[in-house]
Amino acid sequence: MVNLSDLKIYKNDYERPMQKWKCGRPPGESPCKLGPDQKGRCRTSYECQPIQNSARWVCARPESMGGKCSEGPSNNGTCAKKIEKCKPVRTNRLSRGVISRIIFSASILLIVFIFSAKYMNSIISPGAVARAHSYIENDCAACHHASRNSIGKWIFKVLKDKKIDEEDILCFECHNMGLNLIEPHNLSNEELKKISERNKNSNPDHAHIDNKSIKEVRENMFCAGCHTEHKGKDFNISLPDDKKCLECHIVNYNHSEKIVPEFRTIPANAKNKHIKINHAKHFDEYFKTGKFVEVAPQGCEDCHAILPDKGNIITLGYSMTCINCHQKQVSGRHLDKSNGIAVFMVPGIDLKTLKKNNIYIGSWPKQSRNKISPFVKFLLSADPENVETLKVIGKLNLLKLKHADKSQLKAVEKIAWAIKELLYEIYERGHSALALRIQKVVDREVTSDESAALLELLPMELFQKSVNKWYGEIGKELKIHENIKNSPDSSSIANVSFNQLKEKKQTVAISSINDKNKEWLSSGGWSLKDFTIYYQPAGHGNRFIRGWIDFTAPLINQNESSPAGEIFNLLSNPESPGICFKCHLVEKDQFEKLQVNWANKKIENNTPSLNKFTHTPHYLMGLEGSCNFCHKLNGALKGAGAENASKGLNNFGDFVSVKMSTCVDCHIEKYGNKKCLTCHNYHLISAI
Amino acid sequence: MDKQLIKSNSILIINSGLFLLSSMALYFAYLTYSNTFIKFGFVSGWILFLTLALHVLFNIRKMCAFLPVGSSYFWMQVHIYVGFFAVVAFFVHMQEHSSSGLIGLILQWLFYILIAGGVTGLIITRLMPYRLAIHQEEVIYERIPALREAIKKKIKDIIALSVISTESTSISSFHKQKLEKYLDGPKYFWLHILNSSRPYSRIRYEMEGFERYLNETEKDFFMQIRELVTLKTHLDYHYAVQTVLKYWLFLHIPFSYAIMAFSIIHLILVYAFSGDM
Repeated sequence: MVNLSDLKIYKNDYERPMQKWKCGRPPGESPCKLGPDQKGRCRTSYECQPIQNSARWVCARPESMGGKCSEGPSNNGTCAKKIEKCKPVRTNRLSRGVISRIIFSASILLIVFIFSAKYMNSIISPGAVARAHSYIENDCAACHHASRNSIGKWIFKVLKDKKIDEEDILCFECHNMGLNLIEPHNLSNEELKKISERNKNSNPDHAHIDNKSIKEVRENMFCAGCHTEHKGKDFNISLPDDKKCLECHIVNYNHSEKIVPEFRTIPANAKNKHIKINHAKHFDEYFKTGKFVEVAPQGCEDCHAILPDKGNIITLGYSMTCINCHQKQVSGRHLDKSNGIAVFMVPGIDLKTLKKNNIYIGSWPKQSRNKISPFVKFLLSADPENVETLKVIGKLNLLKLKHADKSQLKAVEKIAWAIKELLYEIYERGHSALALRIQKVVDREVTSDESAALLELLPMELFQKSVNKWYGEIGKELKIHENIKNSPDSSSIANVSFNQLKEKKQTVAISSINDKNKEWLSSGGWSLKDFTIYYQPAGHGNRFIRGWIDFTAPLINQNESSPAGEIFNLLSNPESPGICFKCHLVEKDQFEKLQVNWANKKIENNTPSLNKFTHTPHYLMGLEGSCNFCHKLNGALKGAGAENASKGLNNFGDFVSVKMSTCVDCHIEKYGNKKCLTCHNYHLISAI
Repeated sequence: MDKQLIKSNSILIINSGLFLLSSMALYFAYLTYSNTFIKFGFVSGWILFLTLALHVLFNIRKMCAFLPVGSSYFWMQVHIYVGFFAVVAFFVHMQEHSSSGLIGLILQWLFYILIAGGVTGLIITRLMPYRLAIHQEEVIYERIPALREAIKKKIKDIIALSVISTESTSISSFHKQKLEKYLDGPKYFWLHILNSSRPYSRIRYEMEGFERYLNETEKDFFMQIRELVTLKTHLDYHYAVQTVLKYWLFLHIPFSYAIMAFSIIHLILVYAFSGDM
């Protein structure tokens, strides 16, 4: 059996792992003993280096190479045996080193090329930017200070990392985030503390803040901390990971395990409502009552709509909702005995007693049984004297003056003439007189819109006809009265003068409103009945009623028993025509003045909030009984509580507050969506 | 049990344990701090860079053998286990900061090549020496060409002798047709890598097929040639395996310099462009 060791080969004595070059002779030949030098040059020349022995040169070839040669050195000492130079070959190690250098050099060249290329920005970009930023994709300087600096400064930044300042953040050149740019939630410290305190007190289970974390996090609280770019065109840059929220907010509850803080009041409590409505009673009772069954709404969407842009719920107007059932009530048709609102009238006065006491008030209808209407009182109070006079009269029954004292009788006289003056003023100058009086009462200019509403086209002919019917020659009487006032012997002259006028017969037919008249005024208007001019409102949102309510409401604070207060109380009576306050709520404004909420509450979604919700996607999900899925009627309010709810006295209205579990059941249980930003905002201002 | 074996097993267990612990710690840190305001990307990036630097130091250590900085074996162990850790660090770093830009892609692919080379090298350096040790006799790689030439020459001498002795050119013809090409340079490289017996069986099949037609005298000569051809096959085996052992580093070391260069560029770009948006 032959072994490799039996083969005779020429062995190279200098085979070392660290060698870079080796002899290039073919394998069958003996490699030279020296080997190449470090630079890969063959060092061989001759087989020996002859030694000089006195005058002779002696061959010095070693025994291993065959000993002394037969030829011997030449005379000049050159060896006779020349060795052919070889072409040294790189060893494995050197080859590897060369390849390493080539690759390293290629890398450096590539790097230099990249940084000197025209399109350096797109080459060094770590990825495509989000679609919203695609228009500045090639303009790195729009977002990075580095692109505005030299490459040398980039290296410097590695060595010295600067703390980020508001001014450094280039996002704000395009994105307006208001104040407190890099503060948490763009809120100042004070505002944050307030919110924290409020949440702690009202909702102790609410996520609280780790103040230590905030301090640490603040240093890194710049835009890119949450909004990372260069993740591709389709990456949602505006939706960072929840972990960022949990840096500060220590959530000591678990949504998925339903250990959660409850909502405070959703929907808003009754105090925040503008229109009184007891949903429970409507759905469970009224809508099921005989004549209303056909016109009753079938669901929430018949009265409420979702606005397309922000998903707010609005209540459709009266004309689209309530009118179907409430029209007759609003027009006062249910009040069979009502003729409308008594505006101008002749009060009934005990003429006999006045005559006994020699008090003359001229012609006065005997049959009148009216009290002075609040409107007349209001107009009379334009003259401060009348105000005092009315105070003196107080609650005196003008039809029974037997026991009235002298001052009261005098007051009655004064007021009677004042009424005549008022009526005659209007008789002569119509609306302008009225407007002037109103201005004097409120001590300010009344706008033309206001006066149009307050006077509501009071017809001249009707008024003049009424006054003529009541008083006959009112103008002459007033002249006489004027003269008498200035005369020293007033009582006798009065007697004579008024007796002269007695001859004129005054007849006022006592009529009664019958169905025919009511039918005539089915669309509202002014009418005369006996000693009163009535205004019959018709339809919802009557201008006259609304005008007087709006006008007198702010005046009530000063004196509820004032004429303005009396008018307000008259019109706000749930039984009065229009029945405004059956549904509309009154509240105090910021100046503590009464204000009537005519329209339903506007949902201001422009107020920045740390929470967000929109109805649209929820409604469109087609949940069974969509609205009722979340908004459940409070059954407890059907009984007595329902009345309170109607009056807006129940803090929770007529809906049970939405439970957090309603949200959790779908968002987490069903769809596994636990993202904080689904329901909460970080920025109070939209960055777009 | 052999003390050496116990020692090597202990080292294996300790090193593996350290690797697992550090990997778990890194991964746990990633789970905790990723997507937070703490710049975990910077942390994982620096860890990765330092592991790469440590790997490069191994090569420098080999060049500077005179420095008293621990044995080559120790450094090899560090190199291997830090290499595994670098894989973990790489994927942790990539989770949050994968890049589709050119430099990011270059870095990724360089790292893949290095990982592939490193793992391949680890397998090769554990598997191949054992195979060499159990395969016939030891051969110095640099002497393989000389040995091959010696075998060729010896076969030619035997053929010349056989022609004279037997007055027949059968063996010479066979050599010219089949053996000359086979003896010229290494053959069946990949089959030898795969430790296949096909190189042996193929040539044996050829030779056995021819041997039937020889007389006794010719068979004697042919037997010697067969032994030498078998020897040449062994040589080819050594050549293949030792070539792989020597040249796998060509895949590993040059790219490590490239990755260092691009890593430094990546570092500069990250510091320059992040954090001040």
